[in-house]
Amino acid sequence: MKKKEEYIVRFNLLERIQHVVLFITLIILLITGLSLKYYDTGFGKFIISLEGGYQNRGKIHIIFAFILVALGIFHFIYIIFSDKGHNEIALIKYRKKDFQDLKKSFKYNFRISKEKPEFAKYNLAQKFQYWGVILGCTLMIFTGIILLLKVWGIGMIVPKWMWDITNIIHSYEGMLIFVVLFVWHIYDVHISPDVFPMSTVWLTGKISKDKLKENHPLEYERIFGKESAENEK
Amino acid sequence: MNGFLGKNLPKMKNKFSGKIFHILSLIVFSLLLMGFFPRYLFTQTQIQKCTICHGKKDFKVQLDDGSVRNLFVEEKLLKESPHYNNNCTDCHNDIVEITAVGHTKNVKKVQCTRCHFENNPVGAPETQMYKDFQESIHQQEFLKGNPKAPVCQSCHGSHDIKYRKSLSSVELKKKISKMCGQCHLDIYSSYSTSIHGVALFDKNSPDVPACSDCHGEHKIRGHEDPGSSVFSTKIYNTCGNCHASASIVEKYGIKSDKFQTYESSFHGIAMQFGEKTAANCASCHGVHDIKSQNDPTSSIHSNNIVKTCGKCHPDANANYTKGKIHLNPHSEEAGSIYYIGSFFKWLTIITLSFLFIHIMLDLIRKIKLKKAGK
Repeated sequence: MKKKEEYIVRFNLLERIQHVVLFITLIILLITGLSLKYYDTGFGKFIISLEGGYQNRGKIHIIFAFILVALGIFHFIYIIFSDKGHNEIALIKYRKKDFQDLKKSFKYNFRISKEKPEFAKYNLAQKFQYWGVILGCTLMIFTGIILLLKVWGIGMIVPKWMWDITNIIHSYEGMLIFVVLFVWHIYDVHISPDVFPMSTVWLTGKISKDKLKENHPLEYERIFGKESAENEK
Repeated sequence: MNGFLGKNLPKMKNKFSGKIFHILSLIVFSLLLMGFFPRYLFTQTQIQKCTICHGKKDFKVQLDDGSVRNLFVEEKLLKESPHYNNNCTDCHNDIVEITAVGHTKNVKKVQCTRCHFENNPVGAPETQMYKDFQESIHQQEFLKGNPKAPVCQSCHGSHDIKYRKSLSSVELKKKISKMCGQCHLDIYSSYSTSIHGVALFDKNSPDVPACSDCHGEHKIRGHEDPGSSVFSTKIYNTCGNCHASASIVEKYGIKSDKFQTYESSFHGIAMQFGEKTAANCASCHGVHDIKSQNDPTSSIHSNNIVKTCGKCHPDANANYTKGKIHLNPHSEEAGSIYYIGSFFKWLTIITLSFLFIHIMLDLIRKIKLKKAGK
């Protein structure tokens, strides 16, 4: 007898829209940015030509950088002034338990212990990826503003050597974000056998009750109560 | 020679045969001499006829505009030139008749291309140069009727043409600079005080560029012509011919990474994408007046950098000077920039390695669990 699948709303519409805007922006920023970083390779030149040449590449990069800044401001307002956002950030922030979970997770992954760490709404990887994106984007936005002020002829607001460092950080940090997001996050939401070919949470915002129980047992307990969780076992 | 011939002599009984042989060998010998030194034999009479007048040092004529033109031709110079074998009328072919009062006064300019073209029948050196010259700005100006536009003999000389190899590299470069300077006087004066000019004239350095090393020789084009070697998007390659070569510049204490560091800079990248307004070498260093950064009059002396950057960046301030311009972030000399770059590079490599291990472990376990579940 097949049980009818039940779903839990994991992300509301506003959060899903923020996610879509974020990934579209980041993909375009990474393509336009990294093609300049690797301008001297045939592939880089090809991508720049697709972007409409050297001048257009810069324009596209700057336009989407501003979309990213706007998104950042919106997100900041969302987590501070909306109850939903406020609750989410409380769930996503690091707590003492996370370090214990990290230890457990290492032991579990390396087959030292069979005890699986139990996660709430966000597991370790998800928390790390969230804060990685926040930190990375903040760094990119601030270094980007310093570079942009020079490009727009407003002035070199830091000495040349610091400006060069800013430039280096902007360039390498872009590569780092690319590696983390496009290897780790893509694995988690596309390649991983649990979700292959794609997790639909980003579209529907819904997660099945079974999946929630399996991957986020503490969240399951919070929603359905401890008893219900134990009864179903 | 005589001994060799003499062996056969006794066979010939005739008394006169010996004498005939001597006369014959004398004739052959003279012919050989004439072959090797024809200039002493054939051209003499013809040149002598012209030098009746043109050999006199005070042979002058007043032109219509009042200026005096010296018509004296030093025979010695002509004899030392590659054209020693030619008659005067070989080049001045419009003079066909010399009367008691001389020849026609409207003598035309000599056309070198009468002989110097490809597959010419008279054996003049074959060259592409006259074709190259057709495209040059000098020829374009000449065709427009600019009376100052140079033709072949303006640079190569007329009666005193010399072989290129007869001068050393330094002498040649000096001569070229002075030659161009006859017309381009302003440029010559700024070049001769530049680091290149000083090195050439005072230090006799054979490596420095004379005019033709950057601008080309016969193919010289205007600097606004996209085909010119000094056009804004091409000049960095022209400078790079020497400044990217360690064997040329490093013996003068100049680093050969300047070309590469420019190429990877914002200016250089923009240039490679054809942005004509991006700074090239000359935008900062000057063109003919390039000077060492230690020279207070140099555009890149620390006191003048803000002004130089300000030509394109009106916002240029003192911050522009606080740091290295030709920066190679991948070299340890870049200091903190190099170490921060390395830090990020290793951070990325280590992150990637951890992620790889994490993903592999996760994947293996999940696949095992799925199989067990089935």
